[in-house]
Amino acid sequence: MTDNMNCGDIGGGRRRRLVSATYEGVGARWKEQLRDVSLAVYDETPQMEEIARKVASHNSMENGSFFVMDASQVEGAMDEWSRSLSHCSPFYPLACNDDPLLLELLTRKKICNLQVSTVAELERALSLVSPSRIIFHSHLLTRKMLRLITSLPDPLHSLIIDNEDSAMDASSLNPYQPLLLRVSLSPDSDSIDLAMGMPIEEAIECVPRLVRSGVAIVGISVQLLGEDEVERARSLIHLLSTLSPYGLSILDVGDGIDSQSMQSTSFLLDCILETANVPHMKLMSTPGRFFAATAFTLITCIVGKRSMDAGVITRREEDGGTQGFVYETNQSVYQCFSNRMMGEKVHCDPLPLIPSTGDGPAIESAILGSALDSFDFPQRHARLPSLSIGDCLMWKEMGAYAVRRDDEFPIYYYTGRDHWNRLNGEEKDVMSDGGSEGDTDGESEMDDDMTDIFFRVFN
Amino acid sequence: MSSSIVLSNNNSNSNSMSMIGQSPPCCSDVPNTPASEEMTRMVKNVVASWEWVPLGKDKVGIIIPADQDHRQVHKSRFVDLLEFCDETMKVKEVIAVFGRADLTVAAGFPRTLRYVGFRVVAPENFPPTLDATTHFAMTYVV
Repeated sequence: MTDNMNCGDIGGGRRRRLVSATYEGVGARWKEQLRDVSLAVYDETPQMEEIARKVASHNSMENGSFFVMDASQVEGAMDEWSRSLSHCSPFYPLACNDDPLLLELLTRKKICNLQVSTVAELERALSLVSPSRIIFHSHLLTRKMLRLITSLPDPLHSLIIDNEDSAMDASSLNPYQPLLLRVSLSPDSDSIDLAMGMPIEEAIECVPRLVRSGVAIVGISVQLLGEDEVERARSLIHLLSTLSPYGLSILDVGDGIDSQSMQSTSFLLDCILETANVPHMKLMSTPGRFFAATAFTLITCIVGKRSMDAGVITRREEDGGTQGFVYETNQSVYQCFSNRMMGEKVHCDPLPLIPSTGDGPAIESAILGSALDSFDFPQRHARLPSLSIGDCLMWKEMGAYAVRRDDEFPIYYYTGRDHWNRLNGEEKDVMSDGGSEGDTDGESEMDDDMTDIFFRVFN
Repeated sequence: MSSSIVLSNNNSNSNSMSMIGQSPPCCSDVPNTPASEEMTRMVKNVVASWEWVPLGKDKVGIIIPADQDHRQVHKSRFVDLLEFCDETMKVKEVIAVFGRADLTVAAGFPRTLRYVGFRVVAPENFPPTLDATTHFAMTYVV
């Protein structure tokens, strides 16, 4: 970190990651270390808004924006998964968010495994977990990737392939590498695109042939949840019933599980396996958003404001003639709002630096990104009190597909003492379990030095 | 989105604005070599209307229509193209280039590309020969 970094460096093209920084307020806080990541630990579990406000209040914010990350949210998500879907092993996709603390928290217990889609992600995953906890799934699997994967000393948990040729190639390179066949459950073959997999009837035809050839097909991978779920479930039952004599033992049901649907998904999976008469099949899924989204909150700043007829913003005639506002914020869809291009809906609230201020009548508003082009609309319509240039906006649940490690974006990690003590206990368990040596030495230090870093960055 | 909701450009978008007036890429920029001819064949083999253009020493741009239907893109041929770019053209990045006019980025083919691993290129990171005001680009490291 350079001493003379200024706010322009933070919000502009030259963004840099603070591995962590802490700040004053919100009760007593300590700097702690989890592996190579520092985080602030508060004696009392703080509210995310309080943390965000404290960081922002030290920041001139004219061109700065940052994330805060509540480490305890990750554990909460894992607990929820264990309660509701313990029979379905999660493989978290690094493409969703490869933040180092998030990955550490997810993988330190043996509940969550990893899914990778590139060679670089595979290298990272191998530095965190054993190959048996990694699945490789690239929608654009090349021969180079295949050669690399099959040359690993130990096979991965599985490699997901979507055509017979790739299966034969993988088997010839390493017959011991378990393979999952990606199958599209869509009833309409016309809708199969780059991302979905082999048509169901083609899978039914080729799996017996692959098994007879000695190819290590151990299961199938599908995207169960989404549109036409009932139809997909029917197709899956048909697929499993037909292929069950061929010894398939793993079913990957893909992504799409969220807190609201966990119970119903669990019930649906049980019904599918029972109906297909394969009750002992091992279940797995690749949830990204579920684990990553809620822990991260993005704070941006308003850098432009313009009055506009509310009817133009809402596209409703009845709103015409009243005043609305269009705000420009200092992030864009080419930066932290890139998740908008994955269909993520983002939503902002004002973050007044002094609590209990910033209230006012809700006004029809729109939020533009900093690129000021026709694609850069983080939030097309919002109802906000009148805000000013320099005010902060808080974007919750921004952990999925918004930030990547190599973006070097400032992230402020924190948690409460109770959660930290649990983590520390787990750390000892990991160490005694033969895990690699971490940096935690059981000693805490007050975070004056980190506060100093904070001031150097923002002032 | 209403085009009327646009603030005056008074912020840091100077890089993209400085590209106004530069020529868009076109297939006439493709060198006439056996590898280039094979590259053209590989690109056309994916979708006949696609074109390509070199974008510096280690990048190639694949020029894709804004209304590209993902169902018309044959996956194995697309992977063959990526392999050819890596092994024969010796490039590090393949950049999908779309015209901004009539493009919807949160749906259609750009969304499919995002899903399979392409990442959006910020206007300030565009290759110098690509005009950020008229093009949208996504990159894939091969």
